[in-house]
Amino acid sequence: MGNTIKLTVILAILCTFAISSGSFAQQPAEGTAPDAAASTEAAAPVEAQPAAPPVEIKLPTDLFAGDLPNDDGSGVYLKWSVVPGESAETNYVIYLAESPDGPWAEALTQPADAVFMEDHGKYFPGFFWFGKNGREKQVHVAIIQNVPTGEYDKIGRQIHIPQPAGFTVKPNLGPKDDAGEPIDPDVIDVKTGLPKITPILADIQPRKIGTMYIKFTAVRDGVTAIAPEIFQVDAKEQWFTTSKLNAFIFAILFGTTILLFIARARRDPNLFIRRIAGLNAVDEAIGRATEMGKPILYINGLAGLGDLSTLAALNILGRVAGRVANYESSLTVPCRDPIVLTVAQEIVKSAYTDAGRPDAHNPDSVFFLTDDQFSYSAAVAGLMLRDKPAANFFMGFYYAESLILAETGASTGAIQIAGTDAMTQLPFFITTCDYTLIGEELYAASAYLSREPLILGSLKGQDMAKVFMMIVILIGTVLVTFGITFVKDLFTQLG
Amino acid sequence: MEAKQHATFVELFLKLDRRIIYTLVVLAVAVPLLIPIGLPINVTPEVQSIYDKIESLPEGSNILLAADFDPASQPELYPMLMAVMEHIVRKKHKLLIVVLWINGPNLVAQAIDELRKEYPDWKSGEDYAFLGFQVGGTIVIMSMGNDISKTFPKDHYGNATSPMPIIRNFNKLKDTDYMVMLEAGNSGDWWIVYGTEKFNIPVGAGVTAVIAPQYYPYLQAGQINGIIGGLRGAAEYEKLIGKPGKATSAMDSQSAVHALIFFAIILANIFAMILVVQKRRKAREAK
Amino acid sequence: MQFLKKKFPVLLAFVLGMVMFIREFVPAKIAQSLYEGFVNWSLVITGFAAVFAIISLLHYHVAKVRKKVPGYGFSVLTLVAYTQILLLGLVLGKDIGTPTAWQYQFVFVPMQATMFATLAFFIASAAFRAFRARTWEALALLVAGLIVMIGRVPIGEAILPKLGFLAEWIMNNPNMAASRGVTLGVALAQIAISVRIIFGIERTYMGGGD
Repeated sequence: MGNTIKLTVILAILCTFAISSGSFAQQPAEGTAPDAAASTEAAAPVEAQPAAPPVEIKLPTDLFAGDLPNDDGSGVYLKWSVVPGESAETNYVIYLAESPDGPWAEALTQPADAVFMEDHGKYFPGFFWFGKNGREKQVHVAIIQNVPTGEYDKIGRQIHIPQPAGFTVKPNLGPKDDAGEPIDPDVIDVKTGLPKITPILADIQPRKIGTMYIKFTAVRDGVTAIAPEIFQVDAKEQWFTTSKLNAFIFAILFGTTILLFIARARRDPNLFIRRIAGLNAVDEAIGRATEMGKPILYINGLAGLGDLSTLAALNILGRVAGRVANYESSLTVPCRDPIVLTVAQEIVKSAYTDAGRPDAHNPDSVFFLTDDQFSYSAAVAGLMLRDKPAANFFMGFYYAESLILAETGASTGAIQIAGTDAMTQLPFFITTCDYTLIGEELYAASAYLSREPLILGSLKGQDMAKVFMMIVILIGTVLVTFGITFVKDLFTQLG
Repeated sequence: MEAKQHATFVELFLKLDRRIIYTLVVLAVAVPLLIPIGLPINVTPEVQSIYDKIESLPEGSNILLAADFDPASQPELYPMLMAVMEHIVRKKHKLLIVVLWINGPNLVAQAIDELRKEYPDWKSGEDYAFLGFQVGGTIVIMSMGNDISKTFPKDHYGNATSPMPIIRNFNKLKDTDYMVMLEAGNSGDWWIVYGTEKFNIPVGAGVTAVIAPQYYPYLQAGQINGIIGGLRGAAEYEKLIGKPGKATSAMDSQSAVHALIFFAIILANIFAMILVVQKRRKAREAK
Repeated sequence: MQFLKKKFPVLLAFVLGMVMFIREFVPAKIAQSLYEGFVNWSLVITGFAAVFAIISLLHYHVAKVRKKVPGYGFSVLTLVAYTQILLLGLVLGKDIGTPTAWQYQFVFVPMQATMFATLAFFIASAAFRAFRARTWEALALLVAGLIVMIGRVPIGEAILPKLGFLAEWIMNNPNMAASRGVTLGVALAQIAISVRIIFGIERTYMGGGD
């Protein structure tokens, strides 16, 4: 039966290979450049050319301006439907002013065929089950943030101001001081030799633009068409990113599931957890080291305390240190990160105290080596070759030095147990270590070793979440195959 | 007697001293360097797309280069850095270089010095600015989103950045037309999450071979437009710019080592199977 | 005292954990300022922790030298190297031309590159020792590994042009599927451990057990 399943899996992989190689073989035909429009110039006739027809620019009729959603109050936006027959050579130029009478400053220029609303899921998420996440199709959007975006330097000095017909532009959209007056760009700090920067300037990054007035124009071949309406927009900051609504809901859902199973574990502490060979071998490794009279080497990985795998490794260190204390063996914990060092020192000391062996604790057993990656691995390799520990634990996050550490340890004949969620280093540990905890097994180790019902309960909750994800992936894959993207859209990151 | 000697050879081979393996590796690396073979290098689509992107940008485009590696990754990423920078210089783009790894700046300075010998008209402050290292990781990237000259008030050489002509049009992350990140670790994730995704900047990644697999999901998702993976990727890029360098010369050695390991593994497995067969035969004969 | 040692850290972990979780969904400026503030705090704490780390380093090596344990010569070397580069850097600076820069360029850089280069030897010996097809699954893994290994170098493509495509297919398909599966599992496990830490169920990182 087992062989049948294996053969079936191999056949399935080969079929997938055949299908995908077929699709690879069907290389899309290289796009051929459209024939260049015949632009041969006829010989200039003797008589005068007729006058070129006047440039006609169609303006959109459904312009809408509003506060940019899901931002920190520094943005506004303008949207309009694609104008039928609009030329790709048209540029839409948007002007901003602090009063409806101006003066106006150019805020943004974008070509007519660029920037559609559906490209900005972060700001305009819509609802998941309306086609392309509910965003309107064929709608242009102009997003204006952190004005001034005109030709100013960072303290508002005028470099160049465009002067379109009918507008008078002045550099009043720049940083202001406490009294609201533009900061004098000629004030120089004598110490630095640079223009003086006040706290107000620093605080305006990103600049909250408050109430703004927007004017919309279209420009082509030197002709400008100006939309008659002037829009007033109040830019406000939002307190919730709707584009992350699905992530928020699922985070709450998963967190609640885990907490529910933890609560359930209080009532029913007998929870089954499958055997993890690497963790079963911890006692064996410590016992072996004790018999041989050799130390145990424990490495917390090379990441800092901000990395969850380091926290998981420190959790395991606490359990291992407790057992080492019971076995009266010796532990060596070289650290790479200063903060991990202080935490590890406290954990090992407490573990010995809790085991009733505070006198056996050697404070020098947990020490700092260096924070440089390969210097650290060279130092640890030297430790292994000189001290010849009988058991090596590699728990946490590793980079390229994983193979150096593990292979050196293997050469000394030590029993090695590794656990990491660093995908690229797993092959090296699997090849060189006796036992390897892959990915989430590292995070489950604390529960496995302690057998505390509450922590075991969280493992159950995690497993339920995984079952849910597997069902969703299966259903979603089948539906997408038939063109139904509802489930896929539900889980799509919106920006 | 003959069967026993054969078995002994098989067992000897399977327990081959690692020092013999190390010696063979040394020979596999050294001999092709001394006697180059010149195997052809095919350019992969992932590398081609980064080249094409830089090639297609109009002259004077703003390119941000993040050189986040240290001396350990120098053999792989330094040739990549040289090839990509030279391409950018030839295309006359504006280049800003930043480093988020503390041991990286001197390597970049060295690369710039080499390049300036060949392109003496390439001017700091006008055509490029090497902003150096700044501590903070993701905070640096977020701060660059607001104001690059405020994040790096001085460049690597101690010159103030705000008066630089290049900064005038290239002072925020969103002014970037294209970004190339050369990564030896996880800082590439920071750039993608806090930088390029936020400002919709197209980005290409040059990475060491060992972490290249973790960037393929980004490539498939369209978050990066190409990957220059390891020494092979660097050699491909050198071929594209028509200037074979250190990476190309190392390709023969890499091929030789890979072939050595390939045949060693196959032979080891064949001999292991022979040993199993012989043991079973002995067991049958013993019965 | 008990409150400060036992309960206050748990309370702090809860409050800050929830704040950072909520911050992720809040676009207002205060959220970014909060994050920047926390990162600045962590940089300051790391700076102070670095002082403890250096004390630990010096103490460890000085103790080895004093007790003259086997191999104490390496500790002497470490202490000499540490002291001289610190003093030279403080007195003469680190610009190009100084002894510090010289040591960086001609000692540190080659040594770092050498350590990385030793991986080539270790990969060869590890692969030779461990890549044995004892089961069908191991055989499949071995074949895939060999194809990728030889397909990604010029010699592979010179022998068989399709090897390169095959290696890419293996990287983009089975490898991607497996790595995504592991990544998904890791992500869920990280949620679980985060929930445990935030709600004070997991407290081993504090030291002192329950």
